[in-house]
Amino acid sequence: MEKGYLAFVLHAHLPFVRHPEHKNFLEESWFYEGLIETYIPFIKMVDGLLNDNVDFRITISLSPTLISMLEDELLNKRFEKKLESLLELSFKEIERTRYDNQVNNIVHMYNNIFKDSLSIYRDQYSRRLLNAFKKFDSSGKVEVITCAGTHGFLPLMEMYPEAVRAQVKIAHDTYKRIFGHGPKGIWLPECGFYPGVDNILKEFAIKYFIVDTHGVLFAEPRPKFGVYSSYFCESGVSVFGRDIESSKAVWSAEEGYPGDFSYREFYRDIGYDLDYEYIKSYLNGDGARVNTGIKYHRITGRTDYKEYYDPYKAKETAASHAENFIFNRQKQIEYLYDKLGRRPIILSPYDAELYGHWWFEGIDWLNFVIRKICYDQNIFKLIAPSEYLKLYDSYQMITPSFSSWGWKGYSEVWLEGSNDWIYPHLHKMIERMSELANEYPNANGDLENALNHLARELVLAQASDWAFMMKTNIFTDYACRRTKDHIEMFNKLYDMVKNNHINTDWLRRRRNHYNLFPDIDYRVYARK
Amino acid sequence: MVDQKKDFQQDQMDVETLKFDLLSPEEHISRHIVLPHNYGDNKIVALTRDPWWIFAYWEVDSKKEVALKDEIKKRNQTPDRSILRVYDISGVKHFKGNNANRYFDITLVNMAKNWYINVGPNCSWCVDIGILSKEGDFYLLARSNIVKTPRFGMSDRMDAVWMCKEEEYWTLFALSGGYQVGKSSMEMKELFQKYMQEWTASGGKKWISSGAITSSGNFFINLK
Repeated sequence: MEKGYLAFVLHAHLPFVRHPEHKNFLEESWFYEGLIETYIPFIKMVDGLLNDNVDFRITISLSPTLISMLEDELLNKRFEKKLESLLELSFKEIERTRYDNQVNNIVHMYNNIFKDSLSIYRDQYSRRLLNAFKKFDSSGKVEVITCAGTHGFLPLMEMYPEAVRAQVKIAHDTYKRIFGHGPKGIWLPECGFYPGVDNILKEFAIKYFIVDTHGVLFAEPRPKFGVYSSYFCESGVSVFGRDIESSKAVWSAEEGYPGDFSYREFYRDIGYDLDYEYIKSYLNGDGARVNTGIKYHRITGRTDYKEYYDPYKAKETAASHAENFIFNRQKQIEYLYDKLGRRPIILSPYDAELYGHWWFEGIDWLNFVIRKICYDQNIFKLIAPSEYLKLYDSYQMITPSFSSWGWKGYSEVWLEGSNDWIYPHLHKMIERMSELANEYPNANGDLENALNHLARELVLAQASDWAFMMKTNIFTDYACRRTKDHIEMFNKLYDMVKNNHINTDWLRRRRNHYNLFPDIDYRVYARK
Repeated sequence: MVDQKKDFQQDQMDVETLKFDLLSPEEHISRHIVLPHNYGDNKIVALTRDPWWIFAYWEVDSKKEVALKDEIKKRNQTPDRSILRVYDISGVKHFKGNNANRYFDITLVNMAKNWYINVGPNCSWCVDIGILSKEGDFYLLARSNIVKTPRFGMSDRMDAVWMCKEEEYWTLFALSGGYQVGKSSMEMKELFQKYMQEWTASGGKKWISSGAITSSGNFFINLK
């Protein structure tokens, strides 16, 4: 009998970025890179595990905006072109490096990755990668969960429960439309929890959510099992806390595995390294140098001098890191089992894009970890959070503490000098939305379209990504523009509704531009 | 060949549909956007940032402000300055403005439209914006929503069924933090208390995490 459990939870999210008005739009590449480096390799890994009949469990949250992008025709077409162009570049690179065995060997690795990705994307899943997740969900081995509508940071909406409800309803409805049943769990954006949000999750029959470590440790009353058990909230919804030790092993750039010198260096890319004339047609449309995803060097050390990457050596390192991770979890679980008097759960959440995109070998590592856990030891097992909830007859009831997994553990990332200007606008939008929802409980035709689109503009403006980018000074200009764009367009449409003069051509164009959440319902904003 | 032609026609149609439906330049994301300076409201809103800080922003109706100043003068007093009055209303069921546990004032300067207010953990707060008269009376312009700052540390409340003694708690705290396996529960508690003292003395400026800012930075306390 196993002494405890490990639950991997990957959080997969991207803000909705779709710009048909530009042939190449830099920020859209977040989606293409995510697909090539993380999501397709993840799908390939899971398919391998299913084909080999491995008894594994993994949990992944798919944000509704990411789902919307995976469904979108235009983005899919552009992605396929992007992948074809990378494949073409890799063939050119094979030719260019034909006299340099070492580099040529690395190019072949990329060439195989792109061929594989294209085959998975085009042939295996007919350009519909969501079908892979549907298949995984029905396998019972992958627990696909949801995340709030546009990844809005819920603690900063606390005084507007209808806005929180709208974010959760979109999450629930989008999930149900794709998977045919409601989600068991939700990833609260940035693990942002405030006491009471669980009541809204309950309305949508969501069974559990995850908070950062201090959300549980500072809970009331004192939690008996630290973060190593689930707990009930008064609402009946369960909560899990993040384990720091296992998180740190992967997250920490210095102490964690991804910093190993044999792993691939993220910041050396042929988009910057090769002759401009040669590479320019593979860069973004404006000709500025960007990452292509093809990188030939390894981390090497804390130095600017970088040696060539050795895929074989890197894989060996990933395998030994997998062994180390499992060894540490065994020790942790054995100790906890003795201490707690019940079988502990170690819940290890990560941003999905850490695997593959940031840590190139991350998916290999995960694959090794999963297989070795299943075949090489019997001290602990992999588990899905929903399964742990059925393990015992009773669980302690607590009220978790307000918390997030962001820097400093609370709201500061999303509420500080660089981004606090957004809240008066976002809150006014919610108030106006509620006002209209109460005023027009039974709208139809153009008015209903307008009201639903108002809700769409509102939730798009609420994406936590924008405030995060403003704070971290990365893509700040785009983040500010997107926020202002949605605020202004919301206000414009609000005035149209108030003046009973809806410009339907304009509304159609705007609706086609931001074409996500077809089933959004403005009525959720009515104040109860 | 037929397939290729079909593809091409489809592409062409897509492009044309897109052309027809594209936003005009004045609707592009790259346009210059000026957001409303205010919405004609008279309100103050409070948000919790962390256990030590709340944030308040406000919009004051200038007509209401003028009327209030007239009212102050009518009462033979002299308007002095705009202030925020921050009330600790922990445990107060119906806050009426005069039944707070304690309060403090912040004088507003430079046409401020918002303020980060240093408070304390595990309390409920309400913020008034208004005018203080030279005679020391406070005249209200707007009252905020109530916010609660979270506890930072162990709860004093114990569950009767799931009894967790202090020593047991600190052991688990150490384990959950991941840094301190092998440290005794009392050592852990002392470290935490020392950390809390430093934190309080620094006015909330000393933060624990040394990691870079990522969307999932390590919050947890490095009690080395």
